[in-house]
Amino acid sequence: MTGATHRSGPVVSVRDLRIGYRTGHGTLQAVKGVSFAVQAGEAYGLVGESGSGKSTAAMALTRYLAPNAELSAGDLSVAGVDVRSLEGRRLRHFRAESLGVVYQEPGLALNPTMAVGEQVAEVFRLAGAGRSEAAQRAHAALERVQLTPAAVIAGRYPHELSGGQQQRVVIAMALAGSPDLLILDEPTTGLDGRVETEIMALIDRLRAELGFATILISHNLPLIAAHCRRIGVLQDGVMVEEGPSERVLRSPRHAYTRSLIAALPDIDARRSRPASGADDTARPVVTVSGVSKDYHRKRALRDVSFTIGRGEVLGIVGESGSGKTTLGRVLAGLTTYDGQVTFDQGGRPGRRRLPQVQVVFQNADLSLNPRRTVRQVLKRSIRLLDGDQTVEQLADSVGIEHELLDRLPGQLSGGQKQRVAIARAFAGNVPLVICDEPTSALDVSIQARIIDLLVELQQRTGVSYLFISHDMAVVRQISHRIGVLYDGELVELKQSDELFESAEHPYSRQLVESALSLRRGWPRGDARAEEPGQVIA
Amino acid sequence: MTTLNPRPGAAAPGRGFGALAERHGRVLRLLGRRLVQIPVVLLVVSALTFWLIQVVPGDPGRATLGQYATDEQVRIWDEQNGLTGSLLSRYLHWLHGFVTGDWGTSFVFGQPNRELILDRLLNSALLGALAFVLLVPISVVLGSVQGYREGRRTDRSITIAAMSLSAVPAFVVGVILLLVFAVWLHLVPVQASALATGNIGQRLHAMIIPAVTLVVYYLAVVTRMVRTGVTGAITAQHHRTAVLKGLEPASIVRRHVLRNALIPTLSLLGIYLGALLSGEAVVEQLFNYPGLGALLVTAAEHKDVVLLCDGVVVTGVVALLALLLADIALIVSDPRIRFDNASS
Repeated sequence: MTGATHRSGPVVSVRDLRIGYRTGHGTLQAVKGVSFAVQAGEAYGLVGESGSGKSTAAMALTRYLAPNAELSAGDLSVAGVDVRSLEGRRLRHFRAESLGVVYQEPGLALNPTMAVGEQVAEVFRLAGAGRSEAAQRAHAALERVQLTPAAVIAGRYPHELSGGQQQRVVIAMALAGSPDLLILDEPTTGLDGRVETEIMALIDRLRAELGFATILISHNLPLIAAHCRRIGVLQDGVMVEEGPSERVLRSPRHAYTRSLIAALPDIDARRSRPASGADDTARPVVTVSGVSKDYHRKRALRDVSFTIGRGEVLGIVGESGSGKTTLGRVLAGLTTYDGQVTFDQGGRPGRRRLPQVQVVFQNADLSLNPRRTVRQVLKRSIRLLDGDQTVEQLADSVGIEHELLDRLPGQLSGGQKQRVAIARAFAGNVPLVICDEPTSALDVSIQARIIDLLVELQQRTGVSYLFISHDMAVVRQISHRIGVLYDGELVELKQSDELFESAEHPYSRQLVESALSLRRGWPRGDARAEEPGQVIA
Repeated sequence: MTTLNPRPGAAAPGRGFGALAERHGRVLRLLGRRLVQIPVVLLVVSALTFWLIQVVPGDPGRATLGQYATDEQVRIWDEQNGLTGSLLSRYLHWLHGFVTGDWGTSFVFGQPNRELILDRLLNSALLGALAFVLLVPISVVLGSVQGYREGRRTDRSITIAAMSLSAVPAFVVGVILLLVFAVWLHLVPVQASALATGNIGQRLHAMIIPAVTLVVYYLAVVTRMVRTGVTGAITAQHHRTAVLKGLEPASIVRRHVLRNALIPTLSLLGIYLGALLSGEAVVEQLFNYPGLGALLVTAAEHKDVVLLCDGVVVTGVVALLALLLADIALIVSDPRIRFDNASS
């Protein structure tokens, strides 16, 4: 690390941190005695699944906790300041001067009614700068995060910027007070792979330049491994393992760490790719030819053509705004479009016309009616799709325990809800299922199980998938062919392996490259030997 | 580096009324649309009024001339007052007169309608403006306190108090206020009419109790709206950002909470402003305050179609202008608002 270490001793020192939330039924312990230290200029990572307490533990350093939180610690200090004792004015000064935070959703972290330049300038104003000086320094801060021309960007409002630009503004704002510590709370979750690479590279460069320490909180193990020197693995509020990232990844000591690593979608091997008769393009389930779609004057899709064979899994990748969700909506008949989408009716004589398509959405929370039990949801789907199974059989096929059948969606976990959403799509005999980011909102271990379920269902029923995702690893794992959407155009459509080995379009190459860069030197038993562990910084 | 500025003033990006110039394109487009919409709305409203008033029972000619007038005299009176002929031709006649500035004469009051309406409108607008000026700060303060104290005793007490006050009909609240301040304490006159046309001091004196009655009536809803906005703003993620920036609490409230919290309230206030300025009939009647609302009630009672339609159109203009004002205020305070592209 090239950082200027202006102080001896660690920047962050946490010993025996315990945080509980008082509830009606006693205290819920979220963090159970966590200890760690971060040196000046060091990149430290906290990894764990939702509910592991990783965010709570890191946010304790800012003293920003829910009112019903109870905190106790043997030591909790940042830059030599005992955080536990801070109140009022001293707490505000500490927050302004010693730490910066970068949040998960930059679009929500910025005030929507204030120009971004002013939001950055506020920090300088707080430090005593005059109005024009603060504006100038805000421009400089925006330039430092490569937002140019800074004067133009400064006058924009958050909704006028892309996700990546918003996150750069948040970073500029977090660094405006020259903090000793930068807390990164899932900073790239929800951003596209390419933007993620850029943002993380920016943070790495600024850390080297300015010498602040970082705590990166993420559920994304490859990301943490690539950008942190040491990592701590949290499970249920306990740090089960800590060490240099290379060591933790190559030889995890704790069973939980091993299970986390095993659950990762494997970008190299094809262990769960469905092995059905792919590319049966002679009789495609659906033929899409020359489909275009505009939203007002903005183009969402332009002249997209492809077919999906019977039993084929077609992956669609692209960044947000590339039109991949619109494509799913077009195939599902949820929106109007120009061009042609033809379904092969598959000859089911004497039956009423049944839906050709079912959709599994990203957010099962939003796609399930909160007032209907699982049983009601499934019963109706079976009726609508003319299925011949009972609710119980359907539940068995997607791994929903029978005692969950009479619960409401609000009483289910994220993975269980997504299983219900999947069961709904498989309630009858539908030739095509569109999966729109079905695992993006889930933890890795659950993501792996859902993918396995989708593969198993595909093999059993011979259905075709249109599998939309921004995660190259997941897409490669499940798809026979992958199509790359870029700015509404299908720029490349190839066999999965072929795309990874010889992508032609520059954008596809970028996607493949940023997906692979996180795995370079990835310590898997079966990993290709050509790339030894060099990038782990 | 400042030489990069693409235009003067870009260093201090648009906020408040300074932003009006920056967003003048959006304001102009809004004005253009409203210029078309407002006459159409007024046309529909006046036609409906003209038609509906026929349903009200009563024969204005007979009522005016008395039971001893002959049928012939009543017929002549009807003719003079434009009450004969088909509904459509009478409407078109009225419309032509209204547009060309001839608003007719009220047979109830025996005065030109234009003077009558504009005088009364001024009275109503003054009363409404006073009520509005009292309503906004009171509800913003109460709603903010509630938002910050969500679920606690203060929050619940304010809700109960405001809801109870609004649930009581305005004429009951008004009578109680009159009893206390006019009859017992002798602070204000019982009847507002005498003072309502005097000098500023006298007018204020006459308006204060009616205005307070109006505030009480609207308070609960506006306070509730502000409360919801504040609760949303302080639980929003950007509030956490502001707190963790280490900003002063006062600056967080002013710049990050209220600015976002009041946006939904603005539309509501636009509707209420229109209603208040153009006259609240019940309160005006109660205090015998010479306002437009009370005038129109009288006009409807006596089937004075021309006066009523004139008055309804004027009321409509006031209400629609107030809404327009609210929409402009929305554009100024919320950079995301687009009226010309509602579907995206």
